[in-house]
Amino acid sequence: MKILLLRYRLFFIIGIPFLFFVLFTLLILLPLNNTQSPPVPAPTPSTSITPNTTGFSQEDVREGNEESVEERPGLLSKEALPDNNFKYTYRSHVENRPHIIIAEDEYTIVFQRMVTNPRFPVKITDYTDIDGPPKWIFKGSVFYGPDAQTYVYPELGLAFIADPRSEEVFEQHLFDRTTVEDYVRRFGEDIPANPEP
Amino acid sequence: MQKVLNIYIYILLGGAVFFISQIALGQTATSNCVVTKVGNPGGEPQLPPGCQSNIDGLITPPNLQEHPVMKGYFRIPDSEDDSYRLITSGDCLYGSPELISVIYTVAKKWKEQYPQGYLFVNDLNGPDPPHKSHKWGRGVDLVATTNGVDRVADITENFGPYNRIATVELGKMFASTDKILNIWYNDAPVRKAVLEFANDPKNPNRSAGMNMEWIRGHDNHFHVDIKLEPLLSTWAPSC
Repeated sequence: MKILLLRYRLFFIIGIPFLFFVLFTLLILLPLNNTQSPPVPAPTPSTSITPNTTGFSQEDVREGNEESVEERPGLLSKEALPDNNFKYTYRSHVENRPHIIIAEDEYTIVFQRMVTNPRFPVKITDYTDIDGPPKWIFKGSVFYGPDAQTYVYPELGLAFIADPRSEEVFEQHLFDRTTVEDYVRRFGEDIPANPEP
Repeated sequence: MQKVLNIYIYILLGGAVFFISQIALGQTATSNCVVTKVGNPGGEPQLPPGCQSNIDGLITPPNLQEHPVMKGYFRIPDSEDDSYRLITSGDCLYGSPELISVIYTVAKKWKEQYPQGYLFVNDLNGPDPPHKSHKWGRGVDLVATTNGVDRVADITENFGPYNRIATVELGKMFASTDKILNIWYNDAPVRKAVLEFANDPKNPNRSAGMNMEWIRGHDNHFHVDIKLEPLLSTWAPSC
């Protein structure tokens, strides 16, 4: 054994490690399974998932409800507004807090208030995990009390009212993408008179 | 000499560890959602948890009929197994073959998962108003049920008790066709779950980069758009 090792020492010292090196390189470079799908690029790491552009214009995404808002079940009232829009209220699962739709006509919704059904709770993180933290938070709520806060994403056309301690979301507001000032002016009736953004 | 022998043995051992780890890692990376059939078990084996919503390939329904005038538009056929019910009519039944295949495939998968369930398929292309984006052969509105009683993709509960878990599942099924551009639906936990699925590289088919957006009025159905290039000619038919 010793003689053998001595005689072929050059092969053992250089040759075999070289063969291993070649084998390893091939293993790394060649896929194990040629039928494997091409690798899918991983999303860019981020604290929030940035939705891709949909290729739709703002006008396109102002998708009307497929049924007339006047034919939606649970309609409680209809009121003409000074800006020629109409405000519709609908029965919700929370007493004294109806769903609201403000519409230009019976198919074009400009604002929707969806009151959370207590049987299907929504958490603040259901929004923030995807969209990141909101740029605007207003403390206090006329209906839900001083502990509630309104979280506004004007660039997404989204706001919601929630209790930051319990994480419970009470309702969400959907509207055209706008500025925070415009949201507060047009749809911020639940925000106290002197809000603290 | 002993020193040389030791180095050689270390190299051999290191090589063996590297080699084995390459094989082990390679197997793990390619077998997350693969089940190997042994013998002839009869029926499809269960996929591991987390792989239930995956769809491997689209099914195109047989005998698609092209619209006599609008080239590229095909009529979604009536379902032969009650996996979906058409609640629209006329020219609103026409869309691209890709869109019809996505609906058809998901409906089949849904039926497999819920034998008493089915999809309600509303307008593909449709009039504007009320639609603004059903005019390129890539969009459809739909809801579903798992048992004929509950409502999937309809949080309003106006027509039956809401099934949120199944709604997430339906969203993931669509995502796993790998063809989805976006789903519009206004229930935040559903949106979060479906987007996390679509952004998870572990899911082989997931419509990576798909979107779910807040759109007013979309609390009582999914609006689904597929990736379609090029879009079909603009057509907003009445039905």
